[in-house]
Amino acid sequence: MNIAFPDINMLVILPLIVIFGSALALLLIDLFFIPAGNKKITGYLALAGLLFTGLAGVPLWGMEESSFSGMVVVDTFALTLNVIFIIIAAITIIISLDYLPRQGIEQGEFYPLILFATGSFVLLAQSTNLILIFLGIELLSITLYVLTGFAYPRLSSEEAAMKYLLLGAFAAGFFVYGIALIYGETMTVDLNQIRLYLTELESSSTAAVPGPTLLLIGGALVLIAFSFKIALVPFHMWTPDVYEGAPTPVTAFMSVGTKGAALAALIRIVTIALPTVQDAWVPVLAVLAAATMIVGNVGAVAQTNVKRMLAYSSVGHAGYIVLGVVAMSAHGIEAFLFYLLAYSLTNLGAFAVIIVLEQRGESAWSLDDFSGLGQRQPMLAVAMALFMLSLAGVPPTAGYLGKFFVFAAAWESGLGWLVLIGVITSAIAIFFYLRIIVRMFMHEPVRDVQPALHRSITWTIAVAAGAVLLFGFMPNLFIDLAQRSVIALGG
Amino acid sequence: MLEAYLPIFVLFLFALFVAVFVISFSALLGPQKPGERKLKPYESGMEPIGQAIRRFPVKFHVVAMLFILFDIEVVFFLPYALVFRELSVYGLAVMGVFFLILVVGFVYEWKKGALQWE
Amino acid sequence: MINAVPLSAVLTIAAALFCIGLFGAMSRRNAVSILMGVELMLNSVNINLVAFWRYLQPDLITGQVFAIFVITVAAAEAAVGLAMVIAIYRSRQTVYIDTVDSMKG
Repeated sequence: MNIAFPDINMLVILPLIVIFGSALALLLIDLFFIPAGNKKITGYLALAGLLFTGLAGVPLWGMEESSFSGMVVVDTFALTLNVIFIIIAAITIIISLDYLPRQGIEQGEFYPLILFATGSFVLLAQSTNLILIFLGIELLSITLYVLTGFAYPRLSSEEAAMKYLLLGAFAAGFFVYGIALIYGETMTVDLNQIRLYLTELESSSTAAVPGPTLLLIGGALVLIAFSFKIALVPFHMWTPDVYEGAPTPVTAFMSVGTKGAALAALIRIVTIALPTVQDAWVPVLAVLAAATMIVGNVGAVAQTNVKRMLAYSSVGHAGYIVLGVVAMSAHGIEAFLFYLLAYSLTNLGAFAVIIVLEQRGESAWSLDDFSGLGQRQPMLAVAMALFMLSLAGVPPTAGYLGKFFVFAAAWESGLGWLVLIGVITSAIAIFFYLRIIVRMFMHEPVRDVQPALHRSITWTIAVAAGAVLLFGFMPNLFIDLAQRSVIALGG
Repeated sequence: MLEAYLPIFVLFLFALFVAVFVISFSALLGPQKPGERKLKPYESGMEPIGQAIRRFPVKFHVVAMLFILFDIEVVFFLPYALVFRELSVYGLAVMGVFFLILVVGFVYEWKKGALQWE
Repeated sequence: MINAVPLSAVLTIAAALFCIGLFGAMSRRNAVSILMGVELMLNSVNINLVAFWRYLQPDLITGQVFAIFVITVAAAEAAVGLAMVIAIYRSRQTVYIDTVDSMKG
């Protein structure tokens, strides 16, 4: 048997090698050298690993190459996403440093697990092959199941992990079945070759040749699986429970990272493989986005538990991010990237504030704990107010611009009704975000909550708040980057 | 189309024949000295009376899980074995890396004491 | 030999198994049974993949390789799932997921 070697360029997978290498090394270092009770060192080492991963992206900048017979690609889109993912992971690790020992759940494995999950994000951003995307999604899910249950033996954490696992495994079944059907129709799992197959089919299309039925059914199943991961309505049932039960840093990590990575993979699939069958999937995704915006924001109104409210709000935000994908235009992708960055910074910041207020034995997630925060901790309250305004989409924050960009992109693509729903739901959202601000500044304290303000987390909140404002005033800092990514996608 | 299943049908018939033949023949020819132990249902030496679902130590579960994981990972060596000559040094290096990752997992479970029985 | 059983027959079997797994995963209360249902779903996909490979594209091994990946992932998922079942059983003495439901709203 003769084997034709494909072109292999290890440079293309350099970020992947670095991050998975450092995750594996960290696992062993933690096992052998880091004494129990001093696991913060592991956290610092994990930050170093993230830094190296970021540096690995530097020599690749501007590169545009696919390797391993088109399975992996490196382009500005992937590298931009990598930067966002590294920021997300770094903030998650920093806000966990003090949280884990305070909750009595400090285990060294936490940090390698975060690195593995981040590695799967990078993998999803870089892969252009359905098998790799499947592996990325599964790696992401399995690490997150474990992270969700990390507060073992706290019951709600276990329960959340179990629910997440059962529904996630269920979604995985749909995902592989969908891919199998796509493979059956097109005889390939390579996104570029699927596109070639479809264009050929279109040019030779007569009444005698049926449309790509199997592919469409398979695509629908894949879309269902993605909806589970991104938490699009009606596949969002698990989200509030899982987000409430998981340790708060993990919730923060999941609410931004998973959505970003899964959507990045979805963008690759739809822009590379499925542009010729747009008519089939764009309406479906648009309806999902509309339902998500409505249910997420309306559901959040009824919540008095702040963590659960943020869970519903993150469902709603998934709807807004999807608008960028549905637009199917260069502006849409730009908007997606900007929204992801703005939303990540804002949401991580908001969860960091919750972590500061959260104490062992008493989960400080009720609205009461925010009452009078403006008197006791004015700076913290101002930061939280800023995050809430950014989530609500009030200028001059990054969240406002993000919403503006996705709405503009959707409007340009003729999805006026979707923009209308978006604007209305944003108005609803202002209600429950403002409720927290009102509580903080206009109510008397209900009970005494001692915020655990360590230096690292204070700085994180300050930096996140600063970035939210900075990108609100000067979006160009990031937009240029995003624009170049779009050219790279050929969109 | 159904002819294709003929071999399976023949096999089925043959199996049926062998089973009936062996059991009836030994029943006809063998000496029969029934005793209390012999009349009990055969349970591989376990006590046959009691709950069908019995509790057993969770240690078994851990070992079984670890076994399944490593057992399944080895599946990847199978396709490699088929083309191992053609891939030569490159294949060896790649599988070396793969094996290294497995070893990391193994060292982890060892050091964590998952293999300790007592 | 291969012509004796048409591809559609194999695909039908796989689809039927998938549906059985789906039904099992949705109708069972026991977490272990749900995991078994999911496992059946994943394995029916393997039948699909191998059938597509054998009938349509026997020269390339994409389908086979994918099947191997699916098997591995399924094992990893089952391992994590069963570990969680044990953790839940230890703290609540039950594996019925409808009783494991403390968060509502």
